[in-house]
Amino acid sequence: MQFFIKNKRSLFIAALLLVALTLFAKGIEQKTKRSFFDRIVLTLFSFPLSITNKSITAISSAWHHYFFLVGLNDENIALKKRVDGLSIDNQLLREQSDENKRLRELLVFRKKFEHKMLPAEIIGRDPSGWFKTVLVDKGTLDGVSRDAGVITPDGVVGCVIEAGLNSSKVLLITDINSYIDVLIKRTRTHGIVVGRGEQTCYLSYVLKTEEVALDDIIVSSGINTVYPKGIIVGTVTKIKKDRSGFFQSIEIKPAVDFSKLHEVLIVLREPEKQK
Amino acid sequence: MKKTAFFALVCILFLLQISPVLPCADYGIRPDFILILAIFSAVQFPLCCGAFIVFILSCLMEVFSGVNTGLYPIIYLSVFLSIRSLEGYFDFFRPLNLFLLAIFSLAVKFIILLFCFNFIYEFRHFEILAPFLKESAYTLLVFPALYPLLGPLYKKQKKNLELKNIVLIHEQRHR
Repeated sequence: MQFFIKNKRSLFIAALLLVALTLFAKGIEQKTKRSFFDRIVLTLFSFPLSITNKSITAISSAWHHYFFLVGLNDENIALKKRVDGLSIDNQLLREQSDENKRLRELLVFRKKFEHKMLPAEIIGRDPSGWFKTVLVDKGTLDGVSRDAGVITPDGVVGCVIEAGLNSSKVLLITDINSYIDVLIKRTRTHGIVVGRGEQTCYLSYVLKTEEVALDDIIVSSGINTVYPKGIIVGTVTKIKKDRSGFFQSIEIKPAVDFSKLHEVLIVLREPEKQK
Repeated sequence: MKKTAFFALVCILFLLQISPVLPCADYGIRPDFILILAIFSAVQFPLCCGAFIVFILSCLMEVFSGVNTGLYPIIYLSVFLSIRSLEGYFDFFRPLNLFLLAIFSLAVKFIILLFCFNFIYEFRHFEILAPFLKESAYTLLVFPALYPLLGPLYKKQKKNLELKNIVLIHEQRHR
């Protein structure tokens, strides 16, 4: 007993390390399973994140549209103020028009497919550069479930790996843990798109005997029911055939520009499939 | 009050780390605020309290980053313990030493990331080197600005540590 009292600090640190190592070992074993704790934290953080996102956007908009212009010539101050006001209005209108255009595109795209789709907004990004996930502002209350596909009119974005009450975490196709069953549109050859944590992905398990050309379009195969069939995943940018091995090494550029991702569509799963 | 300010700052930094509007977030690479907080906790807090704060922060990071790998508690606890192991040999309160400590922490982080990415994801080490160097550069750029911001919140701790050192020296002389 005295030993425990004497070494309580070291024991506390050892316990923390043990928990960390257990988490690490468990994480390797079951990469995509999330705990109840994770869901609670996601739900709790969705509100402040949404507020932060909106307020920072408002501040940055105010900064770019007003404060940035303050330090110019005195003579032009009055005139500039007017221009500022007009440019803010103009900017806001343009922003609204862009948003309208994007939403209209989403609507047209949504009507093309039989699946029910839910528009969602990005409210957070992965805090590290090592994994590629984003947080969206829709959760189980809106009908989102784990493994729901996430797309845009441009192409496949990723899939939901964790759904909180009013927010969800989406694993992007560029993440190193992402795998999608795909087809090469021109030849109907199957392959698996694997993320590499960069801006590009790799198309794996395509035999050397299969014909693949640069700029070939890669589409989702629809096999795993996560994504509807025929959604563009990307285009082939590099093909390499090593002497050894059965498969080609193919690099693809995702169809979606993840740096400019604001709104997405979540493919809702049918109730019987949710079970 | 100072504690409240500290934790408010931690929350702001954490939200900033997740927020999509942070500059240089476009490519997913951004300064590692949590590492800076881990360094701060290692230098300023008592052992158990600091370790607990770092553990909680890394668990939060774990929830928001990628799939569940358990990587972050290992990284940040290792950074924390590595810094604490240097306690006797290093004056933590000199600015240059602190900057060196940040470089040392990044090196510890790199070793663990290298291990993880090599054995779990079968990456070659040069593949993670470029993003790591970018992230390190951002972190080192932010570090001198952020650390003094955190510093005044725990000056009392520093004074306590100085007093503790004086008491220790006197005790040794008596023996």
